[in-house]
Amino acid sequence: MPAAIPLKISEASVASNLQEVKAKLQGSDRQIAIDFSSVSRIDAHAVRELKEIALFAEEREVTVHIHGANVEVYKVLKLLALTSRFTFSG
Amino acid sequence: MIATDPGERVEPKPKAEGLSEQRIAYLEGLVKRAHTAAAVFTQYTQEDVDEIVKPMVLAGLENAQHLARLAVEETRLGVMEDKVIKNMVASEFVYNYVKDKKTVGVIRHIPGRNLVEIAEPIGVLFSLTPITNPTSTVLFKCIMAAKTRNAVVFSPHPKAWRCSAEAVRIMYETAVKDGAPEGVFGCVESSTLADNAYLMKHDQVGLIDATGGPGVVKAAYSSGKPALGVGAGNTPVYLEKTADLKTAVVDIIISKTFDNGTICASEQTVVIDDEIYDQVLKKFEELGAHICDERETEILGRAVINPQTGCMQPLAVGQRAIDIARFVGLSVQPATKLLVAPIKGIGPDHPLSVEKLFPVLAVYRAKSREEALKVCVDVNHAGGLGHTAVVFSRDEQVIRRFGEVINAGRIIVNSPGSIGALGAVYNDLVPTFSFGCGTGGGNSTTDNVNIYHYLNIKRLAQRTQNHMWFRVPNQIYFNRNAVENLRQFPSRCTILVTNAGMEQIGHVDIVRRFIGTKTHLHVLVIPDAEPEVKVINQGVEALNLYKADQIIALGGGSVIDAAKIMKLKYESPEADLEYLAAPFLDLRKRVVEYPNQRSNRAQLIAIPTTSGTGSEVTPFAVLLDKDKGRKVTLADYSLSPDVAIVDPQFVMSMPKSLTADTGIDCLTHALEAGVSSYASPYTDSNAMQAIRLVFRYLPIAYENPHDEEARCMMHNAACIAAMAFSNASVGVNHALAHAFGAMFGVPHGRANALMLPHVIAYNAAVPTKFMPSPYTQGYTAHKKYATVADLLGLGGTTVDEKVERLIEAVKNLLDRLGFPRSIAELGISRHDFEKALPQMVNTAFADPSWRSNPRMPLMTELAGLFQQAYEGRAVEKAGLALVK
Repeated sequence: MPAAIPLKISEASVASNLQEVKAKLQGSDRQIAIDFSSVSRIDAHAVRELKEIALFAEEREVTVHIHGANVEVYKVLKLLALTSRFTFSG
Repeated sequence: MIATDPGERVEPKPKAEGLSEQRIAYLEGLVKRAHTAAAVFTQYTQEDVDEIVKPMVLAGLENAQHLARLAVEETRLGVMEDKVIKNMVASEFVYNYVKDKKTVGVIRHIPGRNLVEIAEPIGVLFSLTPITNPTSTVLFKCIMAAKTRNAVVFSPHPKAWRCSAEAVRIMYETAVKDGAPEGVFGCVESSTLADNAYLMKHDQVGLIDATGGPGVVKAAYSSGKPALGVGAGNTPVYLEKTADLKTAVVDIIISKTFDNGTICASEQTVVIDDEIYDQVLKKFEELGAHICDERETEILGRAVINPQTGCMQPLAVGQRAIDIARFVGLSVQPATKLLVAPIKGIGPDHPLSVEKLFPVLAVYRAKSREEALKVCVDVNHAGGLGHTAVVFSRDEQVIRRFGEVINAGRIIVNSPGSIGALGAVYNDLVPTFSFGCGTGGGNSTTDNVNIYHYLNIKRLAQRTQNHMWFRVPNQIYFNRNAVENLRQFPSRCTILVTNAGMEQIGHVDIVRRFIGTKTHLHVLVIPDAEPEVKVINQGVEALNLYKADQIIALGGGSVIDAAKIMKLKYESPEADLEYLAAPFLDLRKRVVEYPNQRSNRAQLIAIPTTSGTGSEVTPFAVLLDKDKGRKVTLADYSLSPDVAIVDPQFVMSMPKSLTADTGIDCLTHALEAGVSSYASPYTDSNAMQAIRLVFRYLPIAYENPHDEEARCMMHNAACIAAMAFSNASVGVNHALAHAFGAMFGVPHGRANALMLPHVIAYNAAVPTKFMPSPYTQGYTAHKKYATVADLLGLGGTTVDEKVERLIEAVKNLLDRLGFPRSIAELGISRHDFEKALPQMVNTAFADPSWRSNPRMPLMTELAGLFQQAYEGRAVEKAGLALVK
């Protein structure tokens, strides 16, 4: 499990929360954890943010850990070949 | 540089021949958006989807006229008013079909089969749409895609892309407004063949849905992607003399002039019976058709059909009849709506016999019904295979025959072809704008393409158990003097089948005492050996000669088996014994059927004189076919005797060796039925009781043959064990014993005894291969053996210990009965045994007995078991006996 404190993603503002995560990637942390346990569904905007997070994380060699994503959200990421870009728990 | 969305790895791209980098980026963008949308769409519920679809349908209806006008302006094809109808059908009628259908999650329960069907979207569809129905096809496909949670990238016909793109835009904006994922529909502007080739091979496209000409369909199917290809037709129409002509002619005109004949299901050649031909043409003329003369037909054919390709000229497609007439130089009335061209044959010499997507209709005068049907077949095979056909007739036989000889996915009866094929207007076909043409048309389906073609349907298959049974004769009389019950069965003529020994020791006389004086009794003495065909035939002759109504079988298993087969052949003389002995895996699914028609009837009463085979209650019979040098095993519950009389007075004089052999056969039946993969609580109760009786009474019956109680209980045990294995079958012990016994002429019980301890150990071990069986929960053989050990009070605390003690108890019993404990002890040399081993292994593996064994035997394991049986006790002492 990553040591970082997970950044909670709210159901009502998934995309904007993910933008905040993206901003965090500019910092010095080598690990970032995101808590998806309150998110029941993601839309195309959220997907786009996650793709960008994956790209930036790879460039900066940061590990992004997603906690608590439900299987429906996980399947969306799987269909888009994004699961290999993150680590998952819960 | 190929643009990719951020965060995505660059996947290998399809070949992009003839495409600029900018064009590739454009196409990639369309697919990526659709791919993301499709992934997001997977999270939607049925309610979400239905809330999206309904506004889309309303938008389609609201824009029906707008889109129709655009389509006619852009394509210069068809009739605006008809295109409005098409757009409305594509919206309203399709919605009416899909609105209550489940397309998300569980879509169907099939309780009787324990199946649940679950919908899985396909993902991204690449959809080609035609010039002839450029907006209605888009509306139809968008509604279906949204209903099934798929995204679509459209590639409209290049001469119709603007109107098609407008239809996509309307559907997209409405869908997204009501919650559909962003990017769910996209449209390639001004697509090219290179665009289509690129997209057809794109990794992220899940299915190609190609509605269009043969070229497009062929390209779709050649792409290597799953495809729904729906192509050209050539609709034959049979106008038969019993038809309602007024309706038929109007229907044909409606259909053939609808949107100027652009629907590929519209009528192409009408084959008319001679008797009504003139009348039909007159009606066409009265209703606004121009009937071409021979010269006009020739001019028309040359002009509207390309002489090089034999296909219709694109310039004529979707044009008005009057415009076509003017174009080719025919003089027709200004209100002419259809050009009717009589032709005299089908094929290249008759250009108008092919598909014509414009209001030109070929007609053919048929001299007979057979000729009419043949000409329709010719039209069908001239480019219309699998598509659509039409028949007008009041004669159901004609309609049925037409349906049988014509290869078309839609055979429209007494209604217009084009609108009929669309479904839901003139009939109950599923509404569609894509006609599957089956393999005849190079397509994967003959269906009207619908929502279910846009889904992967997954099936949850719950574990099921076929019903089981417990079948035994409905009358079993047992204990001493049970034979007196023969009085209950009056008969006009009874054949008593027995052997010479039974006569000599007075058993036949005992039976005779209880046969009524009015019964004519004929005693048929047969050899005391497995019955041969010759013996069966003798018995059947006797049964026929006396017209017997009852058979009493008095003897051991061979006599009772003979009587069973005699009864079968007497009641059903046509029964082919070799055919009936065909192998099977599951009795319920067996290929051969035993005869149920009976020309005679005779009740079979079985009185066993040994305590082992249990043939008095089993559905099996073994026949020796000497000519072919093999045994034939018959198995069917119709072979079971009607009455069993288990009277111990007939076994009191059994010699010791026979007592031991048959007793161990009985024990093997019970142990094998007990661990069988077909075992049930019903068979278990019988198996366990039989085992208990054998362990208690067999040693006594063996050592003190005159002990009436022991004889009686062993006689009952044999019958009870047989009830168990009649319904649960036996196992690998019997397969080994059959093979070994046949090879070396060793009695069945003795052969069983040689294998039994080794087989128990084998079955109790963890199998190399488990036997597939829906009836058992996990592997239970070792536990069932442990239960037997408990029943016998053998002690032990663990399952392994109990199994070991059961094996020891079996060995002790065999010792007490004086059995040889190894094949070697029988005097069979190692050389002879090794020589016979491969054949024995093959025979044992071919034996059906092991198919209910709890452990599936490998051939090497069968060989191992034979080897153990050969060495027997000597090897056991060395600790090598158990196959683990």
